[in-house]
Amino acid sequence: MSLTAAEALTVTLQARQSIYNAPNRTSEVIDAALSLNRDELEFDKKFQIGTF
Amino acid sequence: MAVFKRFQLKVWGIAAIMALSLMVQACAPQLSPQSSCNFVMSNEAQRVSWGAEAPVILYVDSSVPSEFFGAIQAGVNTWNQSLGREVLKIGGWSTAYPTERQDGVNVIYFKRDWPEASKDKQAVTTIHWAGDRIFEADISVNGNPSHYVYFWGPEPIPRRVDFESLLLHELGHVLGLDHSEVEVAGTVMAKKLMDTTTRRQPVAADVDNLRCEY
Repeated sequence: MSLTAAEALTVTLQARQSIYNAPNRTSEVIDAALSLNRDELEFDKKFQIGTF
Repeated sequence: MAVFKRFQLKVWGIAAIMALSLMVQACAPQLSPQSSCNFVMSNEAQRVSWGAEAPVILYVDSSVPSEFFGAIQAGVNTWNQSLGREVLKIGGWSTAYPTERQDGVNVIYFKRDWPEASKDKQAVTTIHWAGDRIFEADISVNGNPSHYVYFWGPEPIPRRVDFESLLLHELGHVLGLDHSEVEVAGTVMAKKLMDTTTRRQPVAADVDNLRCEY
């Protein structure tokens, strides 16, 4: 089975969510899981318009 | 003992995420690079857009003067009509998200306390994405009256910036378009907007670019 990038991302995000929802979760586990993937998976860009 | 158990849980949680990420990456096929169509590109050379998540719902923060609500709606209508489908939608006024931050909600702000250091910028739009999908976009307009004053109406007003042209440009960013690096005459994605200039209709190249994704 092969996954597209979007599907792969969905699987990873779902895994993150399942840890978040786990009954025995601790805040440390959640924080670690979130911070671990956020830098790798999420991006942002700022656009500026003006008279410069 | 409890501390040790918590530590174990933490280690297993991180290990599970890392293992899953590696498995997923290993299973994912190499994607063919896409032509940009003037979109922001992901690290995998894919166009970054909302894809099937469109229409994008934007809220108008209460900081935006009511006289410009019509200009925002006009910009939304222009993109929708140009594409022949609804890709943008105004959700209404909002007071619930007064600070621009990554919060999963798309908001248009009008900042009267815009800093002096950025006084030559009329607006900043921030998009957030994962993979090749945008999941949030926020627009901040320079509302400091000592920097820029805006107009919205049929006739340009000297020394004022056309709010509709400005918003049409920013809404293009919301959809994923980058600034136009190629000098396309009349493109609404040019990175400069001078006083009294009106660019209220996308040129064919702008629409063709958006059609690559919408």
